[in-house]
Amino acid sequence: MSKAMDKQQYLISRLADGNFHSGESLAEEMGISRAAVWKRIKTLSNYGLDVYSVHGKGHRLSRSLEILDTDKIVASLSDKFADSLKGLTVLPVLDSTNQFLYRQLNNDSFHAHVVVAEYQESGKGRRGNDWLSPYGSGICMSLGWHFQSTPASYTALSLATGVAVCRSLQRLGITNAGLKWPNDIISEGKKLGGILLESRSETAGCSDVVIGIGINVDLPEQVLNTISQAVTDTSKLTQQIISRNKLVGYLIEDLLHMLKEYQEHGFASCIQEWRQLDELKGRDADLILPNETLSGKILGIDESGLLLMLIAGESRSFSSGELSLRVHT
Amino acid sequence: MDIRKVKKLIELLEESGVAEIEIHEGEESVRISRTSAAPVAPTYVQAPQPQPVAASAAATPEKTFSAAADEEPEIVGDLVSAPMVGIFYEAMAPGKPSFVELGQSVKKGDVLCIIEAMKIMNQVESEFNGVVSKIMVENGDPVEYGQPLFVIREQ
Repeated sequence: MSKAMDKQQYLISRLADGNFHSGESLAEEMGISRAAVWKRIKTLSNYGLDVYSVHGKGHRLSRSLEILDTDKIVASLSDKFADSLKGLTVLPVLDSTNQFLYRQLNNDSFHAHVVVAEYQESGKGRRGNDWLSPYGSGICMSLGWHFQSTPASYTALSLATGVAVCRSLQRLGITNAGLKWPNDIISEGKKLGGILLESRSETAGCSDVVIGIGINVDLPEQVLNTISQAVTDTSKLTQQIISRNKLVGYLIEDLLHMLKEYQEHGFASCIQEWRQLDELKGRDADLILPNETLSGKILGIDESGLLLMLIAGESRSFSSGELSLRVHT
Repeated sequence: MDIRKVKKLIELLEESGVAEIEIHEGEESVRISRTSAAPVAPTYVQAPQPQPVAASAAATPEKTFSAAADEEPEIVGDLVSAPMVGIFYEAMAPGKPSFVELGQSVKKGDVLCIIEAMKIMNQVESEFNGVVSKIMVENGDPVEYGQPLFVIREQ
């Protein structure tokens, strides 16, 4: 980490308690001028942190912040999983956790390596969509996994990941979260989290998969208002601020467990659970494909995780597309 | 058209002695022909092109067709096919430049396209060094497992 980032991190860790800290004392602690402190405070706003600066009192965050911590995450893992996790990188700011792992593709450190960030400068959603998450307000996490097989063998991994994330949320007491095909995490129709898998494969042979997960934990109101779709966060669902370190620990355990099951039994290992978590079965929806939009009723998924829809009286299956619920007026 | 239906049609064609079938369904139509290279045969024979023949022939002296290079050379290339069922994307995201264009040189390991299935964005790498001499699918097309996507011609 660069020295500048060290100072930035120090500043955030001091402000994390949610109390006022005077510019003078911060300047002295960090060995920089008050003007330099002020400049760094401005940078924090760019990360989406809400900093109040009051003349004569100093600076404070609008609310306290639990900073992600490697030791706390590792401590929350049971021994079994701590052993199968080969690497854990916790960084304050990153372009995106998926990109970070993509750069490790040909390194030994890729497989079973988890990366978590407080803030992503270019968080990724599907097909170039942004994933917005202000500093410290959610989980931005990726896991790298090496498969000794071609992508055709793990297409439903994307759905299985959704099941793993729901298991972690259930352990935190969030029992009203479900799935929207293929793997959006939703609760009462609002988006709680998203999953994006990226893989690289040769036409024959092995593949490397990056599993990217974003979960909204405690989004500031002003951000909720700027996101075009209906979103929610764990704070709204539980009426309390959950420990992000604990959630990351749960996610690591549930992902490693799911991958083990998946490699042994395929999607059969969690298809029943996926079906129970299916929030949209029986609903009328539009399926937005690159070149057309189809309307019909969602029937569920088939054995391989393909979406089944009843369109013009005919049951059809789809491997891709974006579902949009139709509102009856 | 439902991808499973297309798959059925391909199976049907393989079982029969028919060389080609064409099905119309509403505004959609599909033509399946046996004459194109099957995914199991990774060598694709392409119609001659007005390309610098001597260079390509010189680079592949071990191939038998190069003897006839003076007349009408058949340019043989390597086929890259879809590793999974899904949607074919030529670029990382809409509005972004394509991974590869026709005629572009590629190296082994370069990304050629993305196939998306169930929100897995799978980057397909070239297994060959050469020039992209044919792109057999359009952006946004659904593709089947093993469907030919590109021909990479050795330089």
